[in-house]
Amino acid sequence: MSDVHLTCGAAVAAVLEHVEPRDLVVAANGHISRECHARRHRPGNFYMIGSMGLAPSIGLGLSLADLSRWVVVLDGDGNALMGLGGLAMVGGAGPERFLHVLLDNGRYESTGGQPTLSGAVDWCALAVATGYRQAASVGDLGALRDTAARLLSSSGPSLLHVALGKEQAPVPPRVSLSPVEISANLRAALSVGGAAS
Amino acid sequence: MKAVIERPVADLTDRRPAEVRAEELVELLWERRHRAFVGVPCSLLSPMYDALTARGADVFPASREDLGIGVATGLALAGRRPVVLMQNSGLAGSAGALLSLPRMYRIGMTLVVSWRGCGPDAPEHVEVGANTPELLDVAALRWTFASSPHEEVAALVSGDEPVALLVRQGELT
Repeated sequence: MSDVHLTCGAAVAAVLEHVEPRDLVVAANGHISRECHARRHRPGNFYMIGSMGLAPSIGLGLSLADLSRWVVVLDGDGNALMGLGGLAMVGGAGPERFLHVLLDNGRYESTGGQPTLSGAVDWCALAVATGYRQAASVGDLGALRDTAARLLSSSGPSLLHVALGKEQAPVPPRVSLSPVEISANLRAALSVGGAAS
Repeated sequence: MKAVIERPVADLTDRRPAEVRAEELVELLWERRHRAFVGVPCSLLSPMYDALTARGADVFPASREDLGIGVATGLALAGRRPVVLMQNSGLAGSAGALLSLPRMYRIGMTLVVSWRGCGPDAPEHVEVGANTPELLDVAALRWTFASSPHEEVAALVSGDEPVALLVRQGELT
C-alpha cells in the first residue's frame, strides 16, 4: 500500500536528507538521476546516463574500494530487474555500509510508462535471499525517513524498497553535466580529504 | 557463419601462439597497480586465477560479465586499476556496458578475455570465436594478445579507456 503522493522526487529527497558529506550516491539512469541531480546535486553523486541495471554493481565497486565509506544506490524497479544478478554480488560481498534504495513505480517511466514485472517480485524477500542483512518496504514519506535513518546507522547491505504512489510530478530536466564531468567530480570528491559533500 | 577470419593479421589464428606465464602476466599488471580483479572464469584463464591465488589475491565473481564491468567502473572511479576476466562469449553482453560506462565516462580498465573458437574448438565456441575481432570492435576495445611484448602490454593498460588482452588456447601457461 503506498501513499499516492509519494513521488520519485519526494522519495529521493527524503533519502538524500540522510546522506553525509563523506557518503557516495549512485543514481540510476532515467528520472532517478534527474531527481537526484535536481534535489541535491553534490560531487559525490554518480549520475548514470545509460548502463541500465548496473547501479548496484557500480556502487559495489565503490564500496569494495573503501569499506569505511557509505554507498547509497538509488535504483529503480526496471533497472533492478535488468541487473538481478547484481543482488547476489552485493549479498555475496556483504559490504556493511551499503544501502540499496529501490524506487518502485512499476513502470519504465522514461520510455512512456510501460509496465515492468515488479509487481510479481517480493523485493525484500529476494534481497534477504541473496545475502542482504536487512530489507524493508515503505510506502509513505514518514516511514521512508525513519527507515532510511535506521538503515544508515546499522549494518547492511540493506535494501529499502519504496512503493511509489500514482501521482505524476513534473519531470526535472536531464542532468546537465557531461559524463566526463561526472566522473571527474566523483574522483575529486574522493581525493580531497574524503568529503563528497 | 565466418569460416576463416579474413584479415591481414599474421598470427590471429595461429595454432601455436606465443606463450606467456600467468605469473609473469600477473606480475606485469600487479607492479603497475592493477590489483583489483573481478570476472567470470574460463578454463583458458585458470592459470591466471591460480597465479592470483598464489599471491593472496581474489577474483570477485561477477554474476555476469556486464555486472563485472559495473563493479570495475566503481573500483576505477575510486582510484583502483581493475582487471575484468571473461571468456569471449561475454564480450557481446559486455559491449553495451562498455560503451555506456567506461568509454563514456573516460574510465580505464583492463579486460583479460579468452578467445575460445580461435582455432578448432567445441561447437558452442565456433560462432563467437569467428566473430571475436568484430565483437572487440563493436565494444570499441583496443587490444593485443596477452603474450605480446611486455612494453606493448604495459602501454596498452596504462590509459583511461577500457582495453583488452586476448588469451588463446595454449597462450597462458
